[in-house]
Amino acid sequence: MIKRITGAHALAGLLLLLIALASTVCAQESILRFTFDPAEPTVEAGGTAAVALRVHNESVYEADDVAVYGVKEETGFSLQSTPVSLKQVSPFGEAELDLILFAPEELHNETVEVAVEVIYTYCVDDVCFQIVEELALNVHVAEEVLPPSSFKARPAVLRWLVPAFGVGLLAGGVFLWRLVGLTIPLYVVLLLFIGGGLAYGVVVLQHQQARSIGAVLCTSCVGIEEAQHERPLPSTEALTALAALRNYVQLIVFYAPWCHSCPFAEEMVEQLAAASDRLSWQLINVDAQREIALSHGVIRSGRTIVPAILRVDTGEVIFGVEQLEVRLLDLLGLGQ
Amino acid sequence: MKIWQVRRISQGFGVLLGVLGISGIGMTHLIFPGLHCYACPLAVTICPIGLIQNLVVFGVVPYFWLGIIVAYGLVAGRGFCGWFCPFGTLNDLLAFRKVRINRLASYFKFVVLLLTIVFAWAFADTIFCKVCPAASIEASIPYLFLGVATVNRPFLIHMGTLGGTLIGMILIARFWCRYLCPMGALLGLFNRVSFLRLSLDKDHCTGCLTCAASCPMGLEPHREYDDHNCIKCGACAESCTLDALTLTFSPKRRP
Repeated sequence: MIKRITGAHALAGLLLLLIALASTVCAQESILRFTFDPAEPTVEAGGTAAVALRVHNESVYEADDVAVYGVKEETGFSLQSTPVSLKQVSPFGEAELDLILFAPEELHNETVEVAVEVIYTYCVDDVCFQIVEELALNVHVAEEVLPPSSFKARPAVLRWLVPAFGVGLLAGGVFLWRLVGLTIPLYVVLLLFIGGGLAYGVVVLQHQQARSIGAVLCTSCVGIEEAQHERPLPSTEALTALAALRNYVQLIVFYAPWCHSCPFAEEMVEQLAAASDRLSWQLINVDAQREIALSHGVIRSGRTIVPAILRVDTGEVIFGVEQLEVRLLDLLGLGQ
Repeated sequence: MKIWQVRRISQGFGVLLGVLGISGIGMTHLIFPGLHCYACPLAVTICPIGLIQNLVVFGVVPYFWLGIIVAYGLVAGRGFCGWFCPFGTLNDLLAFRKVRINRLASYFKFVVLLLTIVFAWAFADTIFCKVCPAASIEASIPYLFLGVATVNRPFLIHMGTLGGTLIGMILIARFWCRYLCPMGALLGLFNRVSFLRLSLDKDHCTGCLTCAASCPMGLEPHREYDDHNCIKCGACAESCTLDALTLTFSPKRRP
C-alpha cells in the first residue's frame, strides 16, 4: 500500500499516462480514403466548379459525420458541400459529397494546390477518434472555361450555302413532281433532307442544343411569369431590412444564357449584395454545370428551372422573378 | 381490331410519351411529332414549335430540327395529329360537332406558323409559347401546383387561350387542329407525299357522303383525301361500307 507519493511513484504515473496517451494517438489512424472527381478540375477565375468527393471506407469501423471542414485560406478558394456532412459511411462502404469550388478573381492560367480539410469520427468499442485530414486538390484556373454544352461554331460559308442548296433541291423536286409528274426525285430530295439534316445537325451538336433547350425551363419563356427586361431597383425598405441581416449568407443565382428573366434576378441579387457586407453571391450557368443545379434542387422532374436563387446554408430555393424583392427578403429571413 | 381502337392505343402512347415522359429517364434529344409543351414537368421530349422559336432567336440554321420534321412528314404527315399528338387527342375527346370545315379559315394555321417564326425573330422571344393552350395544360397548371407558377397575368392569358380553345373544340370538332395549330400546318405540308395516306378506289365510290359525316376535320374525304387538313385518322375508311377509301402505308406513285 502506498502511504505517500514519492518521486519514483510520480515518475511511474507520468510514464503510464504518456503510454496511455501515446496508444490513443497511435489508434487514430485514418480509415477513409478520399478521391476527387474530376481529379484535377478546371475553373474560371471568379467562377465555380463542381467536384465530387468520393469517400471510401476501407476499415471494419463505421465512419460518422464526414464533413468538409473547409480549405486553407491562403489560396483564396472556398467550398460548399452538399450534403453538409455524411452521417455514416458503413464499413467497406462508399459515399459521395458534392462540392462547389469557388475560385478567387485574381488567379489566371495557373494550377493551384488547394488543401481541402476533411473531418470525421469513428469509434473502436467505447473509444472514439476524431480525424482531420488534409487533401490536396490540384485546380486549373483558366481565363475561360467552355461549358460542356457549348456548340461548335458553324463555318460562315456553310451557314448560308447549305440551306440555299437545300432550298434549290427542294424546289427542283417539287417542280418535277408537280409539273412533270415524277415523284421519285422528290422522295430522294426529302430523304436527303432527313439524312443530311440529321447528320450535319449532329455534327454541329444541334441535338445537344435541342436537349439543353428542352431540359431547361425558363419561367418567362412559356408564360409562367412575365419577362423582366428593366433594371431592378431595390426599395429603400429592402435596403433598410438588409441591415438586420445577422449571419453571413451566400446566395447562388442559377441562370441560362438564353433566359430572358435571368439578368433581372442577377442584377437584383447583385444590388442587394452590394448593400450588405454579410451577403455574398455566385452565378452558375445551368447549361454548363447542370450537376450543381441537380444537387441543389433547382431541377424539378428532371427539368432545370431558371432563374433560381439558392440560399446555400439552408438549401432553400426560389424560382422566377415575380415579386422577387419580397421573396428574396423572405429567403434571407428578413420578410415581414 | 378496328382502326379507332388501334388509334386510341396509339394516342394513349402519345400521351404517355409526350406528356408523362414514359419513354426514358431524363431528357432525350427526341423532337416530338406533335404539339406538346416541353416545359411539362414530366415531359422528356422537345416540342418542335418551342424548339424552332428558340433556334430562330439564336439565329441557328435548324438542320437537326429540319431532318426530324421532314422524317415525320414523310412517314405520316398529319397522321401524327390523328394518331399521336396529345393535344390532338384532347381535340378528339371533345369532337362532338363534326361540322364542315371552313376552307379559307383553315389556312389561318399557316399564318399562325408564319407569325410564330416572325415573332420569335422580331421579339427574340418565344411568343407563341406564351399563348399556347398546350402549355396552359401541361405547364401553367402543373407548375401552379408545384409552387413555381402563380396566378399572374401570363397565367390568366394562358387560361384565356385554353378556355377559348376548349370552347372552340366543343363547338367545332378538332377546332384547334383545323384552324390554329402551327404544328398541324407544318406536317400538313407533307400530307400529299407522306407514306401514311388515304387512297380512293373511284370505281367503288358512289359519293354517298357517309365518309364526310364521319370526318372529324369536316372534310369530304372522297374528294379531299390528300388535303393538307386530313389527319389520316381513318374514320372515313372505317365508315365506308363500299371499301372505296382505305388507309395505306406506301409511297405515292403519282402526284
